[in-house]
Amino acid sequence: MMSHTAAVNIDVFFGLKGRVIPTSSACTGGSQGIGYAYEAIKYGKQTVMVAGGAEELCPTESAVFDVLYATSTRNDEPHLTPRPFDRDRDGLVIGEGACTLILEDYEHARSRGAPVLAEIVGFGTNSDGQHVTRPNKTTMGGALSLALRDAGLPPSEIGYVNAHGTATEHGDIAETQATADVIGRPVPISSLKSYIGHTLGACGSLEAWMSIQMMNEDWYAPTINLENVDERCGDLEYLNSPTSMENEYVMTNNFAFGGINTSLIFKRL
Amino acid sequence: MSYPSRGAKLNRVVITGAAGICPLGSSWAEIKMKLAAQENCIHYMDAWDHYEDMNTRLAAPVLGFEVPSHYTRKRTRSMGRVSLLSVRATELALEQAGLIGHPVLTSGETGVSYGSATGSTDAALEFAQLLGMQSIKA
Repeated sequence: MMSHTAAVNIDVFFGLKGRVIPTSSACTGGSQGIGYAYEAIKYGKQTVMVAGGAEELCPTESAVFDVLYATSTRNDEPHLTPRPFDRDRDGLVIGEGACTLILEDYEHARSRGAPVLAEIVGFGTNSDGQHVTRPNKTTMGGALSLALRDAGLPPSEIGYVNAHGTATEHGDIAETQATADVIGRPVPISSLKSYIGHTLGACGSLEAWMSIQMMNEDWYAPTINLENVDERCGDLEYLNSPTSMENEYVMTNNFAFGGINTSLIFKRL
Repeated sequence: MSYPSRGAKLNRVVITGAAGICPLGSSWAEIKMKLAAQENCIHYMDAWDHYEDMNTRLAAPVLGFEVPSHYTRKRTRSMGRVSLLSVRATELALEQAGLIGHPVLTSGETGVSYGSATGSTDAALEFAQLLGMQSIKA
């Protein structure tokens, strides 16, 4: 019955006594959780941050999208949906989960000999300021540009983009066009929601974690059930089979109802 | 309690632990195996059949999540499922980072930045009755 229930229960369970930043921003809850934690350490306000997001499955979450005709109704073919970027997609599927990243000041981590999975080098977030449910590709792209500027990187350094990729018509098209506009080349891209559906508040951190793991292992999961890319989607390299490649930087993007946009950039160490 | 003084320099930020619980599993090894198999975790939800006004019956639940035995009732009574998932993922991430029991957690130098879209709806339903919205429970 508290919108910050996950944050404060973590806080109490582990006896944390620093700042609490509840990022209850729907589908960007997890990515904003990471981004604002990164800024708290970057600007010297905290040494360690517990960051991420979570969601528990409830039919009301599906109903919210169902009334907008944004859910998949391939009820007899669960193995064939959702289908991000595919011309025959029919909407999203809701999932659940939780994911936590432990963010730490680099010097503190080094001084105690901690394992390091990756460095966060860029975070961008903004809002459309226009409509609660209709995405805007200009401001979506703006978040990606903010992350690149924060990282001090040209778009050419981004080797892989993990898409929000919900399998809704408007979302897929706006996101991929924004990505193509900002990155400026057909960068490899895939959506993990094709495997686990849309885990709402958890997706930003789950996708960040899996993207870091894929970066560190030089192996990237494709979008499944992607047979024919919607021709209205942006000009990108849509991974449709497991792909081996070496990247120094990967980007993960998320977009939420309310017109909230986020972009994170991770560096391999 | 004293906080370290800090200047204007910007700190580098690294990730020293990570863990997730999702429909594919609760370890990267398990998750990667299923990603490599290129199969999704979408299920038909029989329990949703009585929601006649809803069109979709599909979801991706986390199956088999068990609350560890050291999570006592006293420590979990404020938690719904979303908080249990969050706390367990955090515990696994802190273990990987080598921070379980580390004094930095309780010194005021460690915070939390975490979100969920919906929270725990079971708790909200109890209060819905308070407002006289009995029809929601029907």
